[in-house]
Amino acid sequence: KAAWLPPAQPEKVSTVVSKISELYRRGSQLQLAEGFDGSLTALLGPRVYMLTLARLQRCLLAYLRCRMERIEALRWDVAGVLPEENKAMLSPNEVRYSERFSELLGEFQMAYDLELTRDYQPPEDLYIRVNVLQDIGQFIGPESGQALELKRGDHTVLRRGDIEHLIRQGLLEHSLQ
Amino acid sequence: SSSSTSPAMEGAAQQPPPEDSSGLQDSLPQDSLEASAASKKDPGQPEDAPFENVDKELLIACWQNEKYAPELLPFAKIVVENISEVGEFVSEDLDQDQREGVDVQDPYYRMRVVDLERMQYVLRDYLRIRIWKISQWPQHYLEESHRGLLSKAELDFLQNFWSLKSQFFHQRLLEVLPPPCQDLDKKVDMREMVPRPKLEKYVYVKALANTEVTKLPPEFVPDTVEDSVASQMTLVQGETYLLR
Repeated sequence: KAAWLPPAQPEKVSTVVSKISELYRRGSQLQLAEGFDGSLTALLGPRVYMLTLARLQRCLLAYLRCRMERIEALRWDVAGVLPEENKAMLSPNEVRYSERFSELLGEFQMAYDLELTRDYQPPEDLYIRVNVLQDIGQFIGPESGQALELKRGDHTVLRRGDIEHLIRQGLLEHSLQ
Repeated sequence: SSSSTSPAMEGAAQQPPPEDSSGLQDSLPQDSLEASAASKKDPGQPEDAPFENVDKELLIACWQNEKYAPELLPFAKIVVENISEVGEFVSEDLDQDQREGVDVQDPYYRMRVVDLERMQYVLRDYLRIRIWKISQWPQHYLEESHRGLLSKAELDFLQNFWSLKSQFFHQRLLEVLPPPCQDLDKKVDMREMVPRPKLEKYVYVKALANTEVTKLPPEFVPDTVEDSVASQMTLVQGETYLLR
């Protein structure tokens, strides 16, 4: 989780944005300058500016898109509220994006009444053997409806559906004895 | 490539798929639709002979097709509805058994629960693969020609998702750029901004019936075959081929 996303860097984004504006301004100025006759050779100057600026725009969009994809992947992984340490890396816009994305995914899952974040592998058995890595305390298993209590150092056999999300969060470990 | 739609689709369909009442096309041949309609009358009740659920095979076929096709296939509405219905029925049955005090460790009970969970896994994975595909290429699947492939829930999700994403881009970036840079779907120098699924991937196809494939580009045929023969190929039933 440490290498998830670097913190959002709006200052760097603004620097690139102002560069783009600058290039655009220069390109337009060239076109308005004396002796500009619209011929192919005269167009080369502005064209270079435009192409550079298009490329910068694409780079910025790719950067944003990469961050968004990581956010979405995390939502699929964790299937719940974002952990605080990840949230700290996001800009306010991104936090809003992740919440709204979470909502959309939830709505879609409700349409089919299925949680899509469970069972990334075909289930083989109803119960699995786990080691408990951290204190979890009491909770009601979502699958079986039974009250369970888990403390650090426990080795138990539990129903898969009840604890799968805990395994993904790293609180439990599947033991293969 | 020889077919612009997924070759897996062409191999799998025996007849043009019928339209159901909502206007969405189902991706399965007519015969299996009738079989699954027949199975609807009897959702999993124990009979004297063991009851075979036809939809299970259909769902697994849809799932495999979806998994290996590089682009989205039409949504298999009827199969998904049937399987969801059967799943609900079975799960209520199992809950009732549990309330009536069946031993949770009973192997027969456990087998039934695991069987249900495995079917649900296939359904979940099917939906997951589709969601992944449409999230990767939202602009492509929002276009009119491709919308028919989505179910209603998928279309709602995609529209909201795309508007969320493009709003995000606009707010964060495009608003502050000069006007020419504000579009997300421009073409610069023949390269589009809109990413499209890669249709050039190779797919293994099993032919369900003898199918004629015409309009093969000559470059994909080995040199030993003459040009005049090169334009057609027959996929023999039961054989497996590697196509693009």
